[in-house]
Amino acid sequence: MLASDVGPNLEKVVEYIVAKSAFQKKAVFRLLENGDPQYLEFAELVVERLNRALGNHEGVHAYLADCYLNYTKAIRIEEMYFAKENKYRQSEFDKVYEEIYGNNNYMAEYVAGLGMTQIFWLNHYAIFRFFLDQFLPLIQGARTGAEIGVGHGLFHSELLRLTPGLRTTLLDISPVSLDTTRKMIAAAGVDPERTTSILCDVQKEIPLEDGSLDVLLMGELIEHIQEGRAVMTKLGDKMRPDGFCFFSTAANAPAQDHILLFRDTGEIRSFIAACGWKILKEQTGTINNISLEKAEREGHNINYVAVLTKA
Amino acid sequence: MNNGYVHQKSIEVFARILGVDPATISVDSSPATISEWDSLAHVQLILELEKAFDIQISPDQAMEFENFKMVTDWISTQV
Repeated sequence: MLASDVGPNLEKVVEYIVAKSAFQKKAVFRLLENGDPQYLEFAELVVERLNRALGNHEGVHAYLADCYLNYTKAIRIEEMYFAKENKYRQSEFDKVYEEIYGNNNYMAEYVAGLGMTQIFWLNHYAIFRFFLDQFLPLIQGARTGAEIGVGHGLFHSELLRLTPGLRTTLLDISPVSLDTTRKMIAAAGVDPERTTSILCDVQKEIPLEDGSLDVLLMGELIEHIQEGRAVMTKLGDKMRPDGFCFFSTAANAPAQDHILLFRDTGEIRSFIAACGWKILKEQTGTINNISLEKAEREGHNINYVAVLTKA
Repeated sequence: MNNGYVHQKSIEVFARILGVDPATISVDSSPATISEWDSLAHVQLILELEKAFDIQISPDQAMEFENFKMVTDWISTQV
């Protein structure tokens, strides 16, 4: 039985999920039972926005549920591989591109499933709250921005909605991600013409002017990239001296497209510093609220989010 | 190795990993009947069952298991 303050779109998706997966039924009910009004409002907003971005058709709630279940199933498979082999399954970007980013049908489901994790995974929700509460207040008045690896577009749609006057460039290797993000921006009531989409592999070129960015978003990007250090270093050149970068990544977080493996937060901080960035503020999180110390010692998932500036 | 051995040893593994009384585990047990059996625990169960029976369970196979009986039936074909 769901609480009465669960929104109608969220409720429909949850109904499909609990009917199809005993595992997710438990997880979702636990989450919703403990959900505060702010969380429930956010969760409804995400589903409603994805719904509109995907065309608001009759089967969209079932589609979102299926995408989420498929996404989580793929993660569980990777977790088993990681637990056995102590490394991520993927090591080459070209192979990931072939399997995932270059496969438009797969990507459509992938970005929808990933979008649903923003509400059903508390660690992803915590990252989004950091983005809203800690990052966006820093960039009011920003004029020029970019996001690398736009994914489902939720972050970018909120960036534009809450930062009037900002114009941005979207860079992604997947046309599906670029298209979904523009639709999410429109679904948020923002003019998508405030953005320019560029289909590109940032490991080969970063088509942004040096010293041009007030704002850069690179959420959950770097672990997907084989040439992570080179890209992160070059991105620093694109910033204005007083620009801010929203950065998130994860340690010990196997996924079907993760390549760069961080073992602990120390490795992440060293990586950031070695690429010429400075940490202004940061936040870490773990699954099931285990201590950071235990997660690092035993190799469990750690989420890391920070505001960076050029060093 | 007979099915009774697989059944009993699997109960021991399930009870230890899920932290439940072995007497509560039966052929009817599933994630719906054991609250501690969630998706994260499922990964640990698979890893411990592999060790206990000295077998390999592919991740794809592991994700097909929906209840205790499916697990033990499959293990019985492997040992």
